Amino acid sequence: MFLVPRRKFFKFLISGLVSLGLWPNIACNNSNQNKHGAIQEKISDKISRIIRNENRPDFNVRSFKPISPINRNQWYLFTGGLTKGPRTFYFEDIVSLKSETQMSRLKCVECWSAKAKWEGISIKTLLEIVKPMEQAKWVYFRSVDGYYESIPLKDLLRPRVLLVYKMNDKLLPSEHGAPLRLIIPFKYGYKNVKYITRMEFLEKDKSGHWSDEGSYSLDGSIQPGYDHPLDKGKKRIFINGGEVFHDFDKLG
Amino acid sequence: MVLPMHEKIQRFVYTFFYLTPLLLTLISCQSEQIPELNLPTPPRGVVVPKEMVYIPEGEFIMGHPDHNKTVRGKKVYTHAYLIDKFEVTNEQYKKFDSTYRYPQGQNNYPATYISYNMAVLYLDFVGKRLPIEAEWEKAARGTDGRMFPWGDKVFGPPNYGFSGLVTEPVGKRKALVSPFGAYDMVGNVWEWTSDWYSFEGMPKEYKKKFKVIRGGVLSVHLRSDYSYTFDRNYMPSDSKFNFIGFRGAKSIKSQ
Repeated sequence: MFLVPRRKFFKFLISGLVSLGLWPNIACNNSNQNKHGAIQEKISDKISRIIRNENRPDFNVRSFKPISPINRNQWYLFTGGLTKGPRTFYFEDIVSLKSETQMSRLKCVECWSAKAKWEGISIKTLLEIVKPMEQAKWVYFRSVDGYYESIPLKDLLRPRVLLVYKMNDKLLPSEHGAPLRLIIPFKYGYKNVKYITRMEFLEKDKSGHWSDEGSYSLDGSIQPGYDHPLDKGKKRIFINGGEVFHDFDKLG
Repeated sequence: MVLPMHEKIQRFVYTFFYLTPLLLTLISCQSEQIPELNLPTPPRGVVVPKEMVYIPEGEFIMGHPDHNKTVRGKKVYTHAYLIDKFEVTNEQYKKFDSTYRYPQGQNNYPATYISYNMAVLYLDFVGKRLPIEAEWEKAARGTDGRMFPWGDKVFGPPNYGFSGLVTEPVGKRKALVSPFGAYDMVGNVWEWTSDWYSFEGMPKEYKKKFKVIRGGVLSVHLRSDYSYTFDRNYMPSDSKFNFIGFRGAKSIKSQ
């Protein structure tokens, strides 16, 4: 037997519960004198974290599409295709594998290059777990932002090719491809895939975004010509082709 | 409508004197202007295989005064020798290495992804060798010190503005022939020579680390240029890239 009529009771209960739920928001809004400013601040925080193309004096940022940073704790790498079986690697799985470090330069087709210290795992280390079949000749990469690339397996097994998760002794920044990106220094930047989520081992290539979009070679090997390294004041310097080493030209 | 005679004559004269020269000019611009070559005659007893050209002994101008990694325009002497007219092709190389793979339909394209050592082995297999750098440059340049095999005129290669390389069938660009009758001495792929890369003042630790490669394309994203006849490039001998190929040479004495 209700002392208060049932309908009234449930009305009070529901409105009470709703009020409690809204309380933090109401409190926030009420405690912040500028309600409109509080909302703007949240949106601008979100906008400032979006990864997009940006010229920086030390290392330019290039992104296929503007995206929000990826949470390492929620990310995983899927490997499949012509392998012994599909696998999933979480971030802690990748960092637990034997790592390698190197200094190498990333050279963009836009003429600039920048050097960094990279740490990650070799493709060979990954293949010991993934075990691709003999027919697998290509690896098809997919990124969070929809970017895709195909690279011959034999090129990925060359020295100085890494899947990196650290840059200059710190965790790879979001804008430079976190949680995991490819560093393949003898190919142009567009082959150095960022924010990798998927690697499929295939018999044939499935092309690449820039090869499909414009006249960029699927091979992507750095050609002999000229470079304008950011760390050398964008001075035009001859390069012999393949991985870029500027120190050799220090005599001019 | 039947035209009066004088109008017919007028139209004929107009067509003949104005349009015909224009058409001829357009046709000549479109077609390659293949230079006339005064090829040297080999001495009696020297057999020149049809795929090679003969380079007589003598001096030539090597390098350029403004390029400090060359011999800066010095006169350099070579013995007489033979050199391949064309870069070694995919089809030719596959006869030596049956595991060699190349894209379908590219039998007559330059063989690439071949290291220096493998190039040496192949040429030994066919009774040839790599040219030394001086032999390469003389074959490309002739003896008058020209900037390009065809002369001093500057123009872009066919893959102008391409971030990569598009090779072509060897010898396709007939107009770009060198004074001694060798093709693709610039453009197509860079070519191994047997010389170690070195220049005045080079740090000691770099000596005998790189082999000289010659004659390709220089890229800067939105443009590509043919290299000069005297441009020098270098690569570690185990390098295999899509922009490196080679051609063979032969000493006259070894015949």
